[in-house]
Amino acid sequence: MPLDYKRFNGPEDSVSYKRFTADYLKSYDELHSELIDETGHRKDGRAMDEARPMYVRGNFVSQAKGSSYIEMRGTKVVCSVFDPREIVHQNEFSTVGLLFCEVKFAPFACKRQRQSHVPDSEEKALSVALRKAVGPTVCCQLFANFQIDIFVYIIESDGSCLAAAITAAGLALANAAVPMFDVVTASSVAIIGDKIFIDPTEDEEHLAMISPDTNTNHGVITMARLNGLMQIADFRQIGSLDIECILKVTDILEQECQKVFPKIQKTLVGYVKNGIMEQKRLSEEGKAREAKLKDKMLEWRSSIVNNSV
Amino acid sequence: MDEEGTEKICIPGMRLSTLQGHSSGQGTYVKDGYIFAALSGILKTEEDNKVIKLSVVSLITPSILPKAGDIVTAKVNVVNSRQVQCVILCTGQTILTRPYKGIIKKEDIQLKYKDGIDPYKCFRPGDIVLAKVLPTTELHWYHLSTEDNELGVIIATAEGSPPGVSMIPINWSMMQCPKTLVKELRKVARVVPENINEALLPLHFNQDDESLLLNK
Repeated sequence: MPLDYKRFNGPEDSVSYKRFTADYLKSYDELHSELIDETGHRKDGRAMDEARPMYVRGNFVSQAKGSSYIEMRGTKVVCSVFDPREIVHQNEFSTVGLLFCEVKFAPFACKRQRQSHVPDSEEKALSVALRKAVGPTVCCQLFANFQIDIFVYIIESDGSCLAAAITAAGLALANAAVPMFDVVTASSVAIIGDKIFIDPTEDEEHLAMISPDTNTNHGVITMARLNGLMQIADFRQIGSLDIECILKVTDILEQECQKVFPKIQKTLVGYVKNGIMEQKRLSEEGKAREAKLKDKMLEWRSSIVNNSV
Repeated sequence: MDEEGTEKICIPGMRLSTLQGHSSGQGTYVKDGYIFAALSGILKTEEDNKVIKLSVVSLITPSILPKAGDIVTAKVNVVNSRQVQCVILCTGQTILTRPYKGIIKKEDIQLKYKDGIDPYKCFRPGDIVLAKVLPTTELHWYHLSTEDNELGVIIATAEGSPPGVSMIPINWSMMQCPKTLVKELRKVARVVPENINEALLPLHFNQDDESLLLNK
């Protein structure tokens, strides 16, 4: 891999200190038993079917046309959307526009390794997944032969990154006034055996992926949903799961997406309300200024009339 | 959804009404016989011909592009003997945040005498032009037309006249600078005011002023 020598790369033979901690050496079974305590709660005190609280806001990046920020405890995601622009190397005419998505981890985002500035395979996979999930919601026919850029920067990653990225992208697109069919929200679950972890953390996701048992269910599912139209925009599964489990999880995910939806709605309505207030204030100011000017004009005119008399 | 005074706030994906007696305007789309909102903003209803037109007005400039049939405002950059290259600045009422390239071909400049026309006698670099967007056939270039009487040059500065002094149209193909009295050839647009009735009536503002002055 090419190294960028203008950046700080660290010594070549450096190893994360986590390699030498006791946690690193734990076996799968140990980690598995740690996930849930005796009362049936998870490590961070949540119930199995409880999602993390979510903080949502828009207008986060001043340079972008539209942007958003989503925080779910350890997962923090920023998304920015830019105006349509020309596609650089395009030589075929098309009737629909393109979405260009880029997901990037901050160097310090992940617990397990330091992220390089060169996009790695995980970032590329997330970018593709994001494009697939957001694609159905944007009215692409309105900007044929142009592309809209969506950049997602994951500041801190603690599981459910893709779900957070999709929800953030949906909000940022609406914030940028890109014509959309619907607001898109996403949610994810991790499955280990018969346990279903809603809105999993990094540890839970990691464990669901590395399960050594091939006969039981294990994996991560992320689903994006258009809530107004009741359509599924994207469904992404990693791992080995049987059909009953997937059907059950789909219903759960639909409910979870539906739970996120009001938060996005509320944020968007809030921004429109603020906008209306701002417009009112500006128009009042404008009127006041006009009235002042009119007074001055009259004064000036009457002075001319008086002088001429 | 929420109401703020009399204004109705919409967000994308909100079902606004059925298609019966309604039509879909800007910022909305039609699906399965219903009209949905495509932008977040304020719902606007206009009634014409017994059909209520629904549109959603965004509070920020929507990320839209010029489409075929739109009237755009463009600035001329390059003029050569076959075509005029320009940069599109506005489409309809909305100001575009990025400039998009437009082209006016020689045969699309005016309706009559298409073959005998010289682009140099119609446009000059720096002119502000009203034009209509033609169906797209090329990547990244919008083909424009100024064939209608209402389309053509609206703001132009004559050669050698001070900056900021724009010429006044004197006939269909000529403009004159009020300062230097230089006459130049242009494809002049006959600008029609948007509210023609108001323009024909005398303005109330001036009447008030006169009466006030008379009283004094």
